[in-house]
This record gives sequence, structure tokens and C-alpha cells, in this order.
Amino acid sequence: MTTYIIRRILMTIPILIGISIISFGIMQFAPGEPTALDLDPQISPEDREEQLDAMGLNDPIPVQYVRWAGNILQGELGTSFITNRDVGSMIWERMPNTLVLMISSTIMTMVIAIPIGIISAMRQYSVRDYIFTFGSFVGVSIPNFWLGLMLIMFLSVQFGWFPVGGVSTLGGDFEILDRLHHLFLPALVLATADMAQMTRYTRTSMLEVKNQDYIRTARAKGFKERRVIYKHGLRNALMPLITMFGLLLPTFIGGSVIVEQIFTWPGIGQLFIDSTFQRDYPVIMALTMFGAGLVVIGNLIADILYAIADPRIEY
Amino acid sequence: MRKKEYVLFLAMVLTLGLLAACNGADEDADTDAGEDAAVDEENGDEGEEDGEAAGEPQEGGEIIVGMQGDPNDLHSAYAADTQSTDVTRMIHAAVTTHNADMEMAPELAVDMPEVSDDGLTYTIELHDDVYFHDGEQLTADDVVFTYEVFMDEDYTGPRTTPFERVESVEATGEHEVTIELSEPDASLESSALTYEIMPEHILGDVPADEQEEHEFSTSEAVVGAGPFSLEEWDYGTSLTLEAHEDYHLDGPYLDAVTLRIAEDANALLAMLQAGEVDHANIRPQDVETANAIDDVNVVAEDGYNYNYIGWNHDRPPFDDPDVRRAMTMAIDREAIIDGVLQGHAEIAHFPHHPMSWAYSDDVDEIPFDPDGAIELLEEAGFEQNDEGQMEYEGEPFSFELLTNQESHARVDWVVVVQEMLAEIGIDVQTDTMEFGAYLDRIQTPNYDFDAIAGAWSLAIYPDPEPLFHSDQYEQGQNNIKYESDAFDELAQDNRSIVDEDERAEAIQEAYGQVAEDQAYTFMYYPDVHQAHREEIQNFQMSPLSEFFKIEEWWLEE
Repeated sequence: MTTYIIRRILMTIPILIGISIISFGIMQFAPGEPTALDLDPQISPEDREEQLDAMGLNDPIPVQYVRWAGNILQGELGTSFITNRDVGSMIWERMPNTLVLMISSTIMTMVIAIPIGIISAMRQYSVRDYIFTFGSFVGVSIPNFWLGLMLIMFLSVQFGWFPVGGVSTLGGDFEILDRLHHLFLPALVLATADMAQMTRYTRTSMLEVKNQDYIRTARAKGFKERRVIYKHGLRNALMPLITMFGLLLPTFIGGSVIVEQIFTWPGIGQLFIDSTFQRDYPVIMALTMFGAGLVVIGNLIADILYAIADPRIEY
Repeated sequence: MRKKEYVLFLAMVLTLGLLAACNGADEDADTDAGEDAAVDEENGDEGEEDGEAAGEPQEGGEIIVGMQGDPNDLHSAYAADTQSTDVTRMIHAAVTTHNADMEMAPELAVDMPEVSDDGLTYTIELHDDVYFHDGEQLTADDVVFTYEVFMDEDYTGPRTTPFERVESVEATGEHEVTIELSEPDASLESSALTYEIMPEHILGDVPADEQEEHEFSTSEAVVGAGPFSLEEWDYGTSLTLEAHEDYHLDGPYLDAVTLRIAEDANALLAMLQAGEVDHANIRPQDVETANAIDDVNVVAEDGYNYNYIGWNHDRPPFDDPDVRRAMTMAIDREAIIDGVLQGHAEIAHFPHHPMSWAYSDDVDEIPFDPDGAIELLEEAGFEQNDEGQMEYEGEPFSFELLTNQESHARVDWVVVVQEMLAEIGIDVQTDTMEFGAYLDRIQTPNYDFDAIAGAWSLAIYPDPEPLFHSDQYEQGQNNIKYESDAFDELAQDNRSIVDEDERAEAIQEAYGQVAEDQAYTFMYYPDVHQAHREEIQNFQMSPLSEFFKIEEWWLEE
């Protein structure tokens, strides 16, 4: 097991290098550059050219890549072209907001979706099953941004039950209730689509397990139904869900882009959007690599969880 | 189990869908009522009247102002985007500034600079009671220090042009600065002297190329001599500013101003509706919605910019002024303003703003006249075929009209233009691109477009050279390749003309030439709208700044 993990970690190195070269290249080929966006007739073309020089953007792309990679290896993420601040601290200060949002929506998803999925599967083709199935299709089909805007419009603007956006009340001290109040709508919107999907996966997975011999055996032994389902059934049904959970991890940075935008939630997704439109290369690269790192780690964690969930798996 | 909850949740999801459907209808019904209110508001110009009617300013109170996006840099030599310049203006003070009529006025200077007869020496007398937020006095040395940053050879910010004719800046007294120029520069007062003064006692030892990234420029460590001091900057969330009690001019009356960051215009509008912000800039399409909010006033003003269609003079037949004129004649700009912009704009006939001294009434206003357009095109060698298509050189004529997707108004009206030109038998394909990609396509060295729908923000000094001089084609902003010897001669070096009247005449004629040649089809000057709570008194507005003279706003108890 240990050797397997070490081997997996070592394998990530060439993967990450490959990703960095490809994303650096794609980014450079994308039209536009950071200075072009200050569209102001009063700024002379010479000044613009000089700014590009100062940013090192007039060097050949391989030179730029090597310089960037060298900095990364020394732990230097660089300075943002647009905000002139350290990229590391820009990401670091937004990370907690994104993590809070993602973790709470994941918990919301799990707590609601897994039981619904199980109930659906256990009572297949019952009215309840049809309602849940219908509900999850609705959930999958509702676009995030639309649901978000509607919730803001009704619950925040019309009824004033929830704040329109932000992580906390301006100028207030840290208060857990205030934070939860701000967190609820964005987390709910984010959870909706995942919830629906997760319900479907759980249901399918449970259905498959339900008719297995060992379930019948467990029943025959006279175990209580609840024990049969949760101890024997769910444990096996969870296997594919673990893969899905591993794949969820990278969405920590990408999945929340729209929701963060709508709810003015100052997190990683918002930073990603802003820096892309502003061609803020150091920030884009840092976030891309961060995302790549999460994909790799997510998969690794999923593999390790397999071993824990199913002792028969050996590496 | 928790069956009940699941059902509840499900019910919620389902009803939401229904509610949303109802709302669509409601909104339409509201629009008509809202529109009338909007018209009243604008005619009454209520923002200004409020302030005068309510009498003496009262001290105290706090407001929350919505702002779209964080500022990027608070150093005047590096601030280039709107958010940065808006915030920089609140924190720092400059030698000169502009007033609501877009005229220059002194701020740190006691009076406008004294200019020698040859236009080469500017003498500035500073107020002797100006203090930075940390208590240090602002003196002539700070002014010299700041201007030398722009002139430093290591300076890599975007603002070297305003200082290119400055030979030397010297402190000729504790509160007197003398600037020597190598050539006269009529734009000095409205460009170089408007950059805010930075404190030498803090940045004096920092090399020019490190000031941009210094914590002074990027955090609440900033210190200025302006009406507000920055107390806290919570990136992506808010900036908290407090009154600078020692500010040397009127105000500030408010104790504190919080700038609340919203990511987009929809979020900003929702915050205004929910009462979470007291003031915000709003889009023309949101005017009705904002007007419907209780206790909120919407104020409109002409924006200092214009929208245009730029024809690529390098691609025939757009090299022919008559063809460009015919295009203008075929486009019903009035209808576009009414239909797309709900009337919140004014037709443009001239390359600068009516508020500016560069503006001239003596310009030929091209009417909407599709028949005239067809005639003009036929004279220019077009032929109408049996199917009503306009043919140029034997082929049905067709071109692409490109714009950027960020401007909703333009994205909408290019399609209207497409229909209008179809009426006279010209086939237009429209295309919208993301801003960066769009710029890449239309600027040097690509110039890959037939026609573009764009907009220009205008500067107070109305220099016609950057956009239209033939020298500005290879590298500059004259991307349509407008070439006119008459224009070049008139506009050439207008900054050197010392005599005011002579200069105004040259610039008006130069711009007149551009209008005459229809280098662009000038579309309209859009209104800008701001919404604010009624309690805010003496609210002022300027097209160049979102929080214009915020130090003079005050709250009624």
C-alpha cells in the first residue's frame, strides 16, 4: 500500500509538468494581453510596449515558461499583472471562503442525496420513487445561475429573508449565525445540481446491490432490514460514489465560479473569472496548477478510500 | 424517517419554478409605470435641487456605496482602471481637478497655475494648510517627488505622455512649484497636473519601478491628502474609508464611506433593492427597476463618451467618404436610441462631447434617409439588382460588423443596424467577441475587420491626434486608417498652440473635418445613471467619476 502511494505521488510529477506546459501554451495563444485592456487613447502605444517589456511578455514563450517554472520551483507564484499583489496571498485569502462554501454544499448534498437515493432504490417504482426521480431530473436541469438569481430575487429582494450576497455583514464582528445566514443560499444553489446527480448515482448503485446474493443471505440470517440496507447494502453501493467524490474535489475551484459570481462570494472561482478576462497570466497559471493538483490528489484519495471501503482491494 | 423534510424540499423546488413563471408577467406590467417615473426624475434633475433646498450641510453619518470590482492600484502613477482612479481620487488630492462642467479647477493649488507668455513656465502656488492622513504637511517637495516618478526612466506605468514635454519640476518655495517645459503643452493642466500627489516621506526611498507593487499602492497602508483615508481593505468584499478631518477644502461631511464590492451589475442592483447599498451606478436597462425602489432617486447625466461604427478605410468601398455617409444615412439612430436604450442617449454628430470646448455646432447633421443613401451609393458605383440587393463591382455587397460582447447595448443594436442596412439591400453579418479577443483582432498589427461597433471615453483635453492622425495608424489607435491631410495639418501638435482661442478653433476644425469625412458613423452619447437613497444631500455627478465630490455629500438626519 505504502509503495503504491509513493509510486502514485511520483507519477504526478510528469503529469503536472505536462499540464503546466500545455496550459501555459494555450494561455499564450489566447488573443489579447494584459495591457490591451486599458483602452484609453491617452495611453501611448510606446508606454504599452514598455509595460509588456517590464512584465517579460515580449520574450519568446519557452523563455517565459522556463522563468515561470523556475519561480514556481522556488515557491514563488509571482506578482499579479493587474493588482500588483503577491499571487500566493491573493489565492490564500480567498481559499477559506471557497472551502467553506464547497464543504457545506458537499455536506448538504450527502446528507440529503444519499438517503433519498436509498429510499428510491428500496421502493423502486413506488410513487415516492417517481417523485424523487422527477425531482432529481428537475434539479439536474435547473441551471445554477437561474436558480441563484431567482432565490436572490424572491428570498432576498422581495422577502428580505437572506442577504443578497457577500460572506458576512459589512463591518460586523465574526458571528457564526451571520456567516451561516450568508452561506445558506449559495451553498443550496451549489448543492442542487450535485444533489440531484448524487441521488441518481446512489439509487442506481443501490439497485444493483439490492439483488446480490449476500443481501439475500443477510436477510435469510434474520438481520433487521435497516442493518441489511445500511451495513451490507450501502457499504457496497458506496464504491462508485467514492469515485465520484474524488472527482468532486477539483470542482472546489471550478464548480463554484458561477455561484460565487452571482452571490458576490469572494472566493477562488471569482478570482479565476476576473483574472481570465484581464489576462492576468500569473494568477491564471497559479490557479490552473492548483486545480490540476486537486484532480491528482482527488484521484489518489479516491483510490485510498477504495482500499478502506473494500478490504479485498489490494495494491 | 425524515420523509416530511424531503417532501417539503421538493415542494420548494417545484414552487420556485412556478413563482418564476409568474414573475415574468409581473415585471412587464411594472415597466410601464416605472418609465413615467424615470422621465420625471430626469426632467426635475432632482439630485441637485435636493442639496440646495435642504440648506446647510450636516456633519456625520455613514453610507455604503456599491462598486463593481476592487480597485487595483492606489498610486496615481499606476491607477488606470475606473475603480482605481475613483478610489484614488477619494484618498489623494491633486494640484488641479475638474468641476461638474468639465472645466479645470484648483484643488491643492490656491489658483490655477500662472503660465508665462511663451507657455513654457508654469508656477503653482499650493495651499499652506494641507496635511496627509498621518499628520505630515504636504509641501512643494511632495509635488516634485510625485511628478518625478512619472519622469523616472525606470517608471513603467501607463502615463508618460502627459509628462513628455516637462523639462524640470522644482520647488521654488515651501509651497511653490515651478515647472519648465521644453515645448508649450496645453494639455498639462488637465492631464499631468491632475495626477494625485503622493507623500515623499513614505515613498521617497522606494525606487520608481517598485512603487507599483509597494504595500502603499495595494493595501490600506496608503496615505494621501485627500478627503478620505482608507482604514480597511477586505479584498473582494469592501473598502472602509473614514473622513480626513484636516482636509483643506469643504467637507468631508460624512464620517465614513464603505465601498462595497459587487461582482456584476445584477448583484449591485439587487443590493440596492434590498437596501444593502445606498448608492450605485446603474445600467440604462435598470433605470425603471431602480426607480421603483422606495426612497431611491435616479439621476441621469450625459456620459463623457460616444458610441460609433468605425469603417475600415483600408477596405474598399469604405475608403470612399460618400459610402460611409450613405451608411450613416441608412441607420436610424433615433430609433436605436428609443428602442434599444429606452431613450437614454442623444444622437452624436461629432467626435467629441457637447460639454467640451472642442465641440462645434457648425457640423452637418446627417439625417436618416434610406432613399438618399441608395442614391449616394449608386453615385459611388453601387448598383441595385433585381432582387433589391446592392451590388458593388458586380457582386452583392456584404460586410461584417464586429463588436465586443461585454456591451449589452451594442450587442443589441448591431442587430438593428443589420436590419436597417438590409432595408437598402446591404447584407451585414454581425459578430461579437470577448473583449480581449476583439481588441486583438482590430488593433495593430492585425486590423482584421470591415466595420466595428465601439465606444470611446473622452478625456478633458480633447486631443484629436491619437484617434485620427495618420501617424497613429502603424502603432496607435487610428485602427480604421483614417487619412486626411487637412485633418493632419489642423490637429498636428495642437498642444503647442499657446493662444486659447486659436487652439480651440484648430481643434474644432480638425474634429469638424472628421465629421465631414464620416471617418466613423457617430451613433450616440449614452446617459449614465446613478441611483442613491433620498437621504443623501448635495449629491453631485460627473461623467468622469462615480463618486464625484463625495466629500460634499451629506446625510439628512
